[in-house]
This record gives sequence, structure tokens and C-alpha cells, in this order.
Amino acid sequence: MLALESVSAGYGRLAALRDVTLEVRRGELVCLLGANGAGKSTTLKTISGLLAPRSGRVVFDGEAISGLAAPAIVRRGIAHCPEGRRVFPYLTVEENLRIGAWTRRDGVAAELDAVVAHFPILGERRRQAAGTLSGGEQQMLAIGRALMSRPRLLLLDEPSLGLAPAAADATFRIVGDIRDRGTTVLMVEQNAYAALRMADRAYVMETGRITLAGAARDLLRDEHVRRAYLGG
Amino acid sequence: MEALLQHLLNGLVLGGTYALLGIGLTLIFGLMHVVNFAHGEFYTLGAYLTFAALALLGVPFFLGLALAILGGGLLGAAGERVLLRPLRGESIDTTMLVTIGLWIVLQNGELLVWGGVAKSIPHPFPTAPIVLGPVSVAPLRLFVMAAVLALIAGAHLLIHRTPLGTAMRATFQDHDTAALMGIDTGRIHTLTFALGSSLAAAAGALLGPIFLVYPSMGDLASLKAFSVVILGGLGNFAGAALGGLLLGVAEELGAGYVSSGYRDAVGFVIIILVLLFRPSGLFARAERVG
Ligand SMILES: Nc1ncnc2c1ncn2[C@@H]1O[C@H](COP(=O)(O)OP(=O)(O)OP(=O)(O)O)[C@@H](O)[C@H]1O
Ligand SMILES: [Mg+2]
Repeated sequence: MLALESVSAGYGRLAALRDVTLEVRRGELVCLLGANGAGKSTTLKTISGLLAPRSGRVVFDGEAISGLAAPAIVRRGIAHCPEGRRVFPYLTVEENLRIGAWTRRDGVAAELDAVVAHFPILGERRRQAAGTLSGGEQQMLAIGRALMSRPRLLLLDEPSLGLAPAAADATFRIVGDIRDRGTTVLMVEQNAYAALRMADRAYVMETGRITLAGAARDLLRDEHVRRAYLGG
Repeated sequence: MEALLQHLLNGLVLGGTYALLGIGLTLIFGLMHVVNFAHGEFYTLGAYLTFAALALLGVPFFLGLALAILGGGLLGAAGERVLLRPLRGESIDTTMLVTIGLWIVLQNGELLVWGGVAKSIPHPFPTAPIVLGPVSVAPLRLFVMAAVLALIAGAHLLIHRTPLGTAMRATFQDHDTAALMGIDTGRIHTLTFALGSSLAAAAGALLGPIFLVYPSMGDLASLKAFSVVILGGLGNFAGAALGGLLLGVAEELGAGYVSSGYRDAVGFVIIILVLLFRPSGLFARAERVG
């Protein structure tokens, strides 16, 4: 469904991605692991069009999408739920959700009902400014907002970042649900153990390169992964 | 007492147009961070377009006003697209120099086209004032007040109640994330600048028939607009509306009770006091647009 072919990208003179090649197949939950600054967020930004690759191609459904602007890429069916949640703080919860469906003309009300049914807390806080929600609630909102575009591929950047354990668990359950209902997911996570337990496959990134790839359950047993990302 | 009511009424007419100027600028300066020295030129443009439509082309009054507002919006859109879009991401100083250039070009353009002699705009309202109890008001002023209220309400609804308005607010709260939602943020910048400019043009089109129209009339309008934005707090829609009304009323009271020569001074004294004691604006606690 999605493939990165030798993608390099960076900021100014800094090279953040070197020759990254990875693949996500329809229906999979794939996770991308790596230390701080490894280039995980940069990878997602390159897919969603916030950053144009310097070389290489991003292919989605058989067509090159690298070089398209972010709005064109959402329209193709890729939603990017960015690191740090990035809800619009002065918009209400409902406005945040509706703006997630900006690329769609019809079915917005039904989608809104579906998302609220999935995240009842968002229904209760409908008219409240998003900036006043707790971290966990903001994460639900960010994910719900991304779902409003009815993506076929969902990019999630560290959904458990900064959340208390209970909220992080709830978030992972939601990610599992989303995959089970047929949306393909590419997820960046610091919590490697939780991510590998639910993922189908995983990639490990170090200083801008993919250094390891494989089935999630194999990586859980891999010596290097255990030492570097699972704490022993 | 009667004099006071009369001053208040006059102040509301003037203040309403200040509010339009200020709301326009709070979108451009408060949200887009463009220090737009040319803002007052859109006010001038609105007045001259009204003059051209009514006095030269003989267009009906209300259609003339609508055309002037539309013209201000179109020129604003063109200015943003051609001059500012290439500078997106540059420092605020760079765009400031560009708007100073635009200010000079537009003002001298007006001078070239219309000459320096002030023009008056014909209007269809009877000149005999309507007497409402203790106060009297010219029908034209009453119309201006109603039109200002309608425009403020319309702009408010557009920004706070429509999908386009939500997209504007989202864009200026978080640019990258707005793009991730599929919003064409470049288009939002152009539309927001156009909306701000058309509100300035509306103020000029409405005040034009009350006062006279001359090429440098926009200078004072720019100054008032910045004052209103400071009074209301950057990017604060309701603040700009209230700030405009407050400034208009204060000036009218100052002119009435102190001396008409001090009209503009009153406004600046208020601004200085606000900057000293409430630098984030009188209405800083009110909700920001973005
Ligand atoms: N906007 C930016 N401008 C300049 N450099 C950046 C920018 N964003 C990231 N970088 C740099 O690019 C490299 C990769 O950053 P990236 O955000 O992709 O890392 P990450 O793997 O997501 O890390 P983290 O786990 O901390 O989120 C880092 O060296 C970072 O400093
Ligand atoms: Mg990151």
C-alpha cells in the first residue's frame, strides 16, 4: 500500500533521513522504533507531505506521492496524527473534529457521530476549547480528528507520549481497534514493548537509517532490540 | 445631558467604522502577523471606488457600496498573492518594508488618478435630521450605523460559524497541522487578507459620503486601525469591535467637551495609557480568534 524507496530528506543542511526504504501492506499495523532524533517523525512528515524528499520516492497505491503538498496527500487517504497531538487549542472539540473532515463534503455528520460514539468523552466536551482538555483527552481528540478524513492509512506519531500509564493503555487499545476495523496503521512509538506486542511488523531506525526490520514478534526476541529499546 | 447623548450617538457612528478598520487589521496583523501599513489605503480605495461608482458611473448607491467592498477585497487578495506570498516565512521586518512600499504606491496612485482636491460622494438620503427625543441624527448616519453592525455581525458569523472561518482560525493557530487536515493554507492567507482589506474598504465606503474623500485620508485611518488593534488585543475579534466603538466615543467626547482640535489626541492618550497599564489590550481575557 505504502512504500518508501531510498528516501533521503532533511532540514537545511542537516540530513535527517538517509536512504530509507520501508513498506506498509494493506491491513497491517507497522511500527517504527528508534531513539530520540533518529528520524522517525521526519519519516512521517515526508510521507504526509510536510517535508519533500531530497531523493527517492514515496509510493502510495502504486502512485508516486512524493512532492505533492500535504493537502493533496490527505485527499488520497493518508491521515497524519502528529507528535505532541497538536490539537487546535482555541477551537472547540467539535470544531477540531469537523476540521479533520475538511477534505470531505458528505458523510461528515455520520463520521462525527461515529467518532463521538468511539470516544464518548469527546461528546461530553463538545463545546469546550480543545486546549482545556487533559493530555489523554487531547490524544483521543487528535486521533478522532485524524479519523474524520476516513483515511485508508493512518500515521501515528508517539500516541502515548506524555500520557499516564492508564491513558497510554487506553490509547493503545484504540489503535488496535482502528487496525481491527480495517485501517492500515504506521505508528512511531517510544514504548517499544507495547508497540511490538500489537504490531505485525516493525522497523528500527538509527541516525536516519533503517537498521533492522522484521516481524514484531521476532524483534521482541532480538538481542539488540532488547538491549537498546526494551531495557534488557 | 442632551449634548452627552448626542456625542455618544456621533461617537458610535465614528466608532463603528473604526471597529471595521480594526477588525480588518486584527485579522491581518494579529493573526497573519503582517504589519500592514497599507491598511488605510484600502479604506481610501473603498471611498474612491464608491465615488467612482456613484458620481462617475451612476450606479445605484447600495450597489456602489457593495462594489467598493468587493474591490477592496480583490485588491487585497491580489496584494497578498503577489507581494506577500513569496515572502512567507521571512521576518516581520521584510513584510513591513513591502507594505510601506505598497502604502506609498497606492497613495500616490490615488493622487495621480484623482488629483489632490477633495471629492464629496453623493448619497440618496434626505439631509434633514431625524429627531429621536433629545437627539437628532442624519438619516445617512443612521444607515451607516446599521450597515456597520450588519458587517460586523457578518464577519463574526463568517469567522466563528462557517467551515471556512474554522479553517482560518485553525491555520493561524497551527499552520502545519492545518495543512495536514487538507487545508490549502496559502489560499486561507489570501482570503484572510482579502477579508481584512474589504472591511477597511467598507469603512471608507461608508464614511466617504459623510466626510470628504482625499488621497491621504488613509493615513489617519491606518493609525486608528492600529490603535484599535492595540486596544482590543492582537487577534481579538470582539476586542477590535469594542475597541473601535470605545475609541470613536472617546474621541467624540474629547472633541465635544475639551476642544475639537484635540479629537485625535484623545485617542492617542488612551492608547498610551493602555500600553502602559494593560499592554496586552483592554480585552485580553476575551477569546482570541487564533
Ligand atoms: N524542524 C526541524 N528543523 C531542523 N532540524 C530538525 C527539525 N525537526 C527535526 N530536526 C532534526 O532532524 C533529526 C531527526 O528528527 P526527528 O524529529 O525526525 O526525530 P525523531 O526520531 O522523531 O525523534 P523523537 O523521538 O525525539 O521525536 C534530529 O536531529 C532533529 O534535531
Ligand atoms: Mg519524533
